[in-house]
Amino acid sequence: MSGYRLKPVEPDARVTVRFDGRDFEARRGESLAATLLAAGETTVARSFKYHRPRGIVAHGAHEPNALVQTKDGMALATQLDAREGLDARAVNCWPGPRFDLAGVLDRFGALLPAGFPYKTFMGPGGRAWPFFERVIRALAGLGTLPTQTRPLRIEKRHAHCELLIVGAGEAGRAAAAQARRPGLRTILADDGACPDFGHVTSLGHTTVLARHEGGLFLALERAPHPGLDARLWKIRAGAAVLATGAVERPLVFAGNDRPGVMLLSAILAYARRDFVAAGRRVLIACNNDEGYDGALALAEAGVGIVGIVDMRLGAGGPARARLERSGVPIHEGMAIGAARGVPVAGARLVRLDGTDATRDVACDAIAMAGGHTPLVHLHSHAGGPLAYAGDAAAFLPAGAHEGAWSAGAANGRGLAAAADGARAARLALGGPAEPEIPLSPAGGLLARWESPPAPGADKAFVDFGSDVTAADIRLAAREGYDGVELLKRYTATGMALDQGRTSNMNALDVLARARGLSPDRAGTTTFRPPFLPVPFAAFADPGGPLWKPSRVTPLTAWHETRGAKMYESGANWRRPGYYPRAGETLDAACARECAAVREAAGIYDSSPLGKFEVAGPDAGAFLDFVYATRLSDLKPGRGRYALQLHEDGRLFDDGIVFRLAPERFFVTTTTGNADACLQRFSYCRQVLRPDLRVVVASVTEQWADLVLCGPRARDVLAAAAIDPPRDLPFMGIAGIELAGRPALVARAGFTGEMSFEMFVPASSAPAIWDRLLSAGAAFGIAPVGSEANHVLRIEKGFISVGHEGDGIAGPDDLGLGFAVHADKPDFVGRAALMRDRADPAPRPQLVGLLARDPAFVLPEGAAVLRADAAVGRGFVTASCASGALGRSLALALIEDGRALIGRDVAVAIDGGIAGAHVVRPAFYDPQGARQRG
Amino acid sequence: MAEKVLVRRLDPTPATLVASATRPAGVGVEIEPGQWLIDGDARPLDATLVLDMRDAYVGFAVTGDEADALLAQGMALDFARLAPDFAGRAKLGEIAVLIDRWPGGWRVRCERSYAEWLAGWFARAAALMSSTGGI
Repeated sequence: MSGYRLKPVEPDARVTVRFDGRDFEARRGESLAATLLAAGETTVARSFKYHRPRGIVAHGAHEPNALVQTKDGMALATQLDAREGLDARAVNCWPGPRFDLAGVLDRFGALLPAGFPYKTFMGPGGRAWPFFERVIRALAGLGTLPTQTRPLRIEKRHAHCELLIVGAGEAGRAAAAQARRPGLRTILADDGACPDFGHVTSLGHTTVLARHEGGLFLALERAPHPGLDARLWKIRAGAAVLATGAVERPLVFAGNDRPGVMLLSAILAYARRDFVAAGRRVLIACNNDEGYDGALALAEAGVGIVGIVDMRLGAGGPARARLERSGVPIHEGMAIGAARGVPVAGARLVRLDGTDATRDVACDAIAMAGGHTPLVHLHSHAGGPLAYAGDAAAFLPAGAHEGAWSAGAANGRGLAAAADGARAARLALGGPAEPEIPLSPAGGLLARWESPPAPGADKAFVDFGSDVTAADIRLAAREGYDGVELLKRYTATGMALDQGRTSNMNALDVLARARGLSPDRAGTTTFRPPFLPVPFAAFADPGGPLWKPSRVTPLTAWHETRGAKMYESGANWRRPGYYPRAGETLDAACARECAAVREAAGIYDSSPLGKFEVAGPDAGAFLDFVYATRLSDLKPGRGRYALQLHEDGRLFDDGIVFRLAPERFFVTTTTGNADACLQRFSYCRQVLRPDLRVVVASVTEQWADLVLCGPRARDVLAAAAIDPPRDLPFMGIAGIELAGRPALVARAGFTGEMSFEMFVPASSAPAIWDRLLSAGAAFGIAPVGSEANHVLRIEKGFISVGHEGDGIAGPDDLGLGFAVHADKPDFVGRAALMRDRADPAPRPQLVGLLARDPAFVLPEGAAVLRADAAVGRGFVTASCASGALGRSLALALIEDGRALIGRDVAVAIDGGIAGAHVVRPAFYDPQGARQRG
Repeated sequence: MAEKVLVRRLDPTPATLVASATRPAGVGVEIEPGQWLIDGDARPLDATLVLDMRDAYVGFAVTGDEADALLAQGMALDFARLAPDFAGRAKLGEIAVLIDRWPGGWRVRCERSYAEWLAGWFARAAALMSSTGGI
């Protein structure tokens, strides 16, 4: 193949690009592929599996071979714009694409058929596989990740329109011309340049990647303006015209993957758009009239044609006579049996009438014209059905689908694209029904793509990207992988760069013939978004503090200023883990904070806790329904620990519910489940119990929650001049005024000590927090983080829904049966809980564990085994070193755990087994005297 | 010359959650069926529940010719088709917000805990923007 320029590069457009260490003259803005073709640089890649030399096949986004590496990552040479300084290199080869050491693999092709890893390298006993797996993994893969550290700048933008037109070809432009209604918003998007119609919004260099239900389209606009790498559009369209065109179908013959074998449409595009000839002696192989039309067009562009190989007899249309008059040989009833030379230097033609006659033709490029594969991806993404059209030998949209009308070549009407595009737009905009436009496939198409091989011929490929041959397809069918989806997964056909756009139909044709089926019976694979590869950055956040939402409490600034180590906790909140002093380790800080709570006073910021007001005449009945605990009999000013269950009877959430007034409750939930609780409250109120007169409002954000705890807590309050009622009982609540605003104080907490939980307006929280700390200084108060809280609650055996509520454990399993009032007629999860209670099957039960070595902290999550056998019985849910008790403690969920109390179990740890003794899950002040005060 | 887009954090003002069988008078966003967040501290007589929520939300005014385009980076609302008195709940980026009209643009309110994150989101969105207008 000896490509050259049909027109010299204009001096002012001349740039130098680099490929594989060599410089090439390029026209600014043309593709790297055009530059390389013009320089006669034919071999630009190596294939994925066999490392065969490969060249450029297509023009634009559907190239299956020419992936190259740049500093920004990998890109198709056909989509990489030539610019000064562009530096690219071939991938998957060493030292280069023209000579690649791994090319030797092609000689061992017999060892590498479809499914080869499973049947070639997995010998008896599987001993060989680990070795070969390493070798295969080392050889697999193509390029490397970008070396640049600059994150891509990609904007996301929502947009709305009444009509979206995808594709600015003939059909798309005709559709756009129809969209002139006043007030109508129309978007026209195209992968390349997009004409400006005035009345439509044109999005050029924009690939529509996906169509989802409800008229949602995703589109990626490349480099919309300097400084922005891309823009991801989320377009909601009332209706759409899908004028996405079609991809020319390759032919299947031995050596059809050799550099110099290209699609006819690509050779034409390079000649017409880039003024580059792919070769000086082009041989065209076809099964339809487009081979002749293309030959004429190429000749007019100045490209030499050495002949046409037509599978048909007596065909070719009007163009044939003109070509014959100009002396172009027509080899009819023949096909290419084998391409010869690397790069292509000729072809051996074979007859299709069964005779053995062959003919050799010298050429430096082969153009394949096998008809067209409509790009029906967007139609299919949202579930649009396809139907096989025998005349077009293609799967086509079976009519419009959910507001999307396919048009033009994508609809099998490539020769009547304008009329079909205009019709589609009229229908999409609500126009009256119109008769269908007849199919217009490639003229005189013969439904045959594969040639009989010439003697001693090379491999014949159906998928260049995945290195899948026609023989692989037949082998897979013989081995039982004869459904299209199985075939795809077994051979990887359609799974490479072009996602099957050039290969799927030929793979299906070979499969159908192997099975003796018609193509429509063989079926097609499922098209899934995205249509083209997309940088991850288009969907993901570039990182930094905005990568996902984070929530702060009114006291976060205080925590950070005091050097707290902040942890990510549930529901996007960030909370202090611990407050290390200079030189203090986590363990030391945690022990100091625990000691403050047990011996003096601690204070922690519990603001993220879910908080709700439930009000109305039926508020009590409503809570009785939502909670497993009876709450309607609570007296005003009192609270109760309460459980919510899943529908399956297992624990969903816990918290304390206070009654503020006869028709008003204040409900707390866990932090992580606060949003889910709000949803559940709303669902129960609106759907399950609309008969109840109740309202539920989230006040999580309105109220900060400051918890003061420890034996000196009451002294600290007094010193801070905060005066809750002296007779406020354990689990009581009262309204007070703090910093001039109403607040609530409750006698509740999570540490097992005398605790006062103060719900204060968020904006008042910093002042009250400071006041308490100042007042508590004389008593040894310490701010306490979640690390210490974890230890304190383990010492008490209090459950944490995030640890012990594993989705399997029910309230009885966790020792919380006291909080279930099953005598209520109904509550969420009741029926399933009753079933659980009637089932004698063993259940996981919460127990305490004391490691045999009191200094050893059992790892959380570790499996708990029977002492006599390596059989899992449960796992450690929470574990700590307790300063108050001077030893390690753990909680665990173990099958029939209560029956094991007093016995030993084994805990699987890294590198062995640790012994542990099973005890009741309450280690510190089990009677609760300290918290009751 | 009008600003292309200006995002300004609003000073805290009284806000009240009113649960009522009928829509209360005044500017309000329905945050759940039968529940409105209204500006001010009115206490409708027929309300089932009235709660002070002045600390629960933080407001941002997004104004200027490109206010819609800025918000369209994270909101799926069809701004050009919204009613003149539109007010409602929506999603911005990954969080739930309340949005209503504001002189020259929109008022976006988020839960107080998300305010810092949302301020950062606005800053980044503004930095990414340079084209004019939305679609």
